[in-house]
Amino acid sequence: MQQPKQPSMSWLLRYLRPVKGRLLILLILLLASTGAQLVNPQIVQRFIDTAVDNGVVSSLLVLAGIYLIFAVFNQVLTVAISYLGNDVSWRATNQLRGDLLKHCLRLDMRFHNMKTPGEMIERIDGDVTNMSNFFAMFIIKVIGSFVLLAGILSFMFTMNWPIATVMTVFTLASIGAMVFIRDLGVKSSKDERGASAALFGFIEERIAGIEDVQANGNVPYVMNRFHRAMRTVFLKGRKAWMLRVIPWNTTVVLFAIAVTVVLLLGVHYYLTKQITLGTLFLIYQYTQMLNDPIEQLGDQVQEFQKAKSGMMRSQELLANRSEIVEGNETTLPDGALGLEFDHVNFSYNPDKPVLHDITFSVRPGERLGIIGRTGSGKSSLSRVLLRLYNINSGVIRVGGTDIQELKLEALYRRVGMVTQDVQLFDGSLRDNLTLFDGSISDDYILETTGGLGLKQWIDSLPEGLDTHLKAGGASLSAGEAQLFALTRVFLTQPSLVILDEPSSRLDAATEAMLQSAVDQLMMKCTGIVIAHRLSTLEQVDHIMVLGDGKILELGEREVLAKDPSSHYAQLLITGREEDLA
Amino acid sequence: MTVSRFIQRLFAHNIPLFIVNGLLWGMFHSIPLLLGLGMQWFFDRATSQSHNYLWLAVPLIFIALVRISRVGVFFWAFFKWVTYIYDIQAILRTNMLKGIMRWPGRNLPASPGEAVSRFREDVDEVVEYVESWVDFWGRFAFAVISLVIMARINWQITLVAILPLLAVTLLNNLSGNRARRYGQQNREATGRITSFIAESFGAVQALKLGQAEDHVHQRFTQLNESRRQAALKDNLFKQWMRSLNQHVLSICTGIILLMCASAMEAGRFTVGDFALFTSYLSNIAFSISLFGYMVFQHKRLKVSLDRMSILFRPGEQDRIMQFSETHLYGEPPEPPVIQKDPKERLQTLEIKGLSYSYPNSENGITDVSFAMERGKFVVITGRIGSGKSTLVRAMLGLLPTSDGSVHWNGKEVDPAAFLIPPRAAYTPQVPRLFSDSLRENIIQGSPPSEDKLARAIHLAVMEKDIEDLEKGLDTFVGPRGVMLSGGQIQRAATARMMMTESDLFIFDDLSSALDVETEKQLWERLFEERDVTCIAVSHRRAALAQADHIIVMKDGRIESEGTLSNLLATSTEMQLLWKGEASAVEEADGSLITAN
Repeated sequence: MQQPKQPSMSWLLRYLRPVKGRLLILLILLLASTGAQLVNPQIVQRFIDTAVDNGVVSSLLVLAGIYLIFAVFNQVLTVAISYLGNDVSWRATNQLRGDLLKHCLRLDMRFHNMKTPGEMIERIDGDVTNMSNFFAMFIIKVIGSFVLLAGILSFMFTMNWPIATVMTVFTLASIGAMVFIRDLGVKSSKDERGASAALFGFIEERIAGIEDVQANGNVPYVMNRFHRAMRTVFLKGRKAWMLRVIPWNTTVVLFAIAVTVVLLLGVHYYLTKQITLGTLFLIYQYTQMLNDPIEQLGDQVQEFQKAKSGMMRSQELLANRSEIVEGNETTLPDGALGLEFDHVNFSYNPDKPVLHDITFSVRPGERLGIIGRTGSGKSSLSRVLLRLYNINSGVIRVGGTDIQELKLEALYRRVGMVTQDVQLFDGSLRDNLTLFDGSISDDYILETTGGLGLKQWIDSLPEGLDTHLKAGGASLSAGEAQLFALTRVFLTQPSLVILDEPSSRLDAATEAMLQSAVDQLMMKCTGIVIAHRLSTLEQVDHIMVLGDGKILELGEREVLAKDPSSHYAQLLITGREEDLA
Repeated sequence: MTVSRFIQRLFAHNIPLFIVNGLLWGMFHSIPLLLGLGMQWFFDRATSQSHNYLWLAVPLIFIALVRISRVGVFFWAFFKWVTYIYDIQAILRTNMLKGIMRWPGRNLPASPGEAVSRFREDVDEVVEYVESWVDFWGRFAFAVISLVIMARINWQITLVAILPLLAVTLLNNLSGNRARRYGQQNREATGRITSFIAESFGAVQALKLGQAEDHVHQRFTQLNESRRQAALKDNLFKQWMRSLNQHVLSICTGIILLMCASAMEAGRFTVGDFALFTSYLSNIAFSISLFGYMVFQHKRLKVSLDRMSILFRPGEQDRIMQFSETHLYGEPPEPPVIQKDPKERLQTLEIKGLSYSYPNSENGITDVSFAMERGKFVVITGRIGSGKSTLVRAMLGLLPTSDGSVHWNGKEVDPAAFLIPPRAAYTPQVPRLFSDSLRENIIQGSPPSEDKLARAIHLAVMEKDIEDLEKGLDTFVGPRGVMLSGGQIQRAATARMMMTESDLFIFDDLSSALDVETEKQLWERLFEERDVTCIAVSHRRAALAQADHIIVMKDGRIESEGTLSNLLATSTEMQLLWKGEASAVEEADGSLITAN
């Protein structure tokens, strides 16, 4: 089996292009080592012949010395090959890992809503690691094995062509058999990878949500689910392993037959005095040597099956296209940006409309407050505005430009959002704030956090911005996390900002403190404030009331507040009633 | 636990499987003995004077048969080995997951993504070491038998063949520290990668909105690069050690060849003997290098063992190899149904002198005590960072408290083990749902009972949402429940808590993602139920007004406690919170900012 002919496998080859220099050196080293392996039996043959002929001890010593030198040389080569092969493999697979990560990050939220972080570990790291041997050694070893096979066979041809012919036929038959059944274990290997991704996805998710598991007494249930997932991995894994070794075993059987036939022939020639005993031994040695490259190829077929299953999974991942198609427009007007929704319809699923014919506009610098009960479509509105999802019909314009025609980068550079769900990750405070953007200076971070009243909090941390935040922000209270998310958005100096329930987890005193900071920072931009709490809306110019995905009411806040029949006024009353209760 | 002790207990865990593997692989590795004997047989016949073709062919056919039957043995042995691989993985992972679940809450020593690398790479390292042990017996038998056979032909030469064993063992023993260091660096680099992937995808929306894809990719590339270097170093050292082993063996083989030659000259050694020696020597050499490598592996396994042990609470590390059912070979039984014990029915709950401080931080709680009775509604309030959630989590044993105790009906209990359903249930401030159906998230494997489920959903004010969802209760909620809105997640978690029908319900700021009316409805429905005991963290009037008892937290201590009217009369902090709640904006003057 040479390079697999399918275009699918050749896709992997492009990851080898950047390391082709190293690959070449690797190939040369491998050929050198192959050569050394071919020479070794020659020495032994001389040795036997000399010994049988009662040769002098000194010449035997020389031969033994040469044997030793070759052995040492071979070992050095082995180490070098292993090192270089590993290097090539890491470089190529890291490239692939990086591509996969980048591609997946760019996929839309519909994709991410289906994948657990643990599963992504398996898909980006696990599957690729499964392919690493393919990158490092597959081509090299396949070529190396062929060279070795060819070398051994041609040596045999110089000695005795009928024997060599028989050997060649069997070798080709073995290779043919391997090529023929090479895909045997691919499908089950893929299933195995899938089961393993599910297992690690499960483990990661439950560890991340450990409090929810423990405090609700669900540990036995989690263990039960774990046992089931592990059992699936076991059953699928065992099947995949067994199927993958079949090609290797087939060659071993074929090879056993080949060696027997060749030696039987050799005996015939020996009896008819056409070859010496030394040559017969040499033939035996060479048949033994053929074993190595053929087993090597069998091994590689095993690796090939693993790699192919990993590759299919990676390709599936890369074949996922984001539904969000970027436009080409890169510029938006300077300063605060206006916003316009023009007959926008949106649904997550075709038959459940979430936003229904939404039309409104916000002038640059204005603030719009959106209220509505849970599930009224408030959050969806912000999600479509940020192109986390595509709308079904209508147009959304930011700064007068249809967002579908904008490059995502241009949109996000100017539009920021503080979400309900504050996402923090295991890393330093700085990384969490800047999202790994090295170009944001510490001074600027401190200035912004100072403006939000977080300075004291940062000062109280032992290592300041370098303090390590634990996963999920375990060391932060939810209120602190919310402040944090605000800082993150304001660091990017947005021209349009969406605050989605910014005060939901703050107590009143802290919220009050925050409000002035937010006001100050929102001075220069247009603001959309989504909130359940009426108090947070007192600074907005317009109010929109949403219900079941429709605009129930839209107008200036003061006008609505004075109109007793308006929803807003009604809500104000409910709020007050609650205050009085 | 030492590596030796660990590995012993690992073998003992499924001793029949270990023995079967040892025997089958022993068989597989000893079969080449017959091949060597066969070749000797053949060449001895070939060098003899009789030249009968069939007579010469017999040994060759014998060898062919041996080779083919070896394939059969291989299949059988391989099947058993693959089974053993998963057996080892299952027991280690089961114990590790159990160990993690005994930690108090989120105070884990590793991020979830990093922990995954311990479940994967470190477990695989153990499997690899066990593989050497499985091979060991057969190779050992082969080495001993072949040495005996060789010694009977020529004992001096055989003696030289044993020498490298000693050298190789010594060599590998000396390499221990470096082996461990490189192994550890490699593992740590891998842990950083898995952790980074999990964290990135856990926060994917924030990264997308922040246009951080390129920055994340850059960081990932850096991490990949340092892992490449660590892995290369680790592997190079491994190869180097193996190669050193080989050098020792090559030199010995050279010496043996010379000795053979002189013996052949003296006529004490036939070509057949020589064929047998060369056939055995390479095999013995391989075995010896394996033994040497095992010494190396043994030293190196300490790294993985330590990395896995760290997932266990201090003092519990030995439980990594405790006996556990793995349910690999049959469907696991359903989890046990929780039974209520009438003797444990809640009468009073008392918290005495509870203290906890976050590591590397001044935040925490100090000496908090309070008591409550059955049927009461206690609200814990206070401003941001005052320790409300910390108090609740410490009380539940989700944080390792430094001081204090929890008393249930007057008896001191271990909160982590005791304050769980059916006695107490809890909804965290930011609840997490898991990527399953909504139904599964609520019932969490408890026996199906539509009545109970309907009641829980009613109490959580969720029936309308479920009607609106396309697939109702069978909706897939996505990782962490992302397919639902914040309010829906919070109420689903409430329904999950209600489903347990516990004596005591603890809400950590349940209402923060709910609108006023939904929240009111929820409290109303809850208090329609008879005999409900509740602790709620909240700063909302809806909750404060219903409370039988309010605890005001400030800087990690109880500032004041009592009924609402009482507190409003006496506590300035309470007044501030209550007034702030009424009109937060008006209170937003500079004095508050400096006060904080």
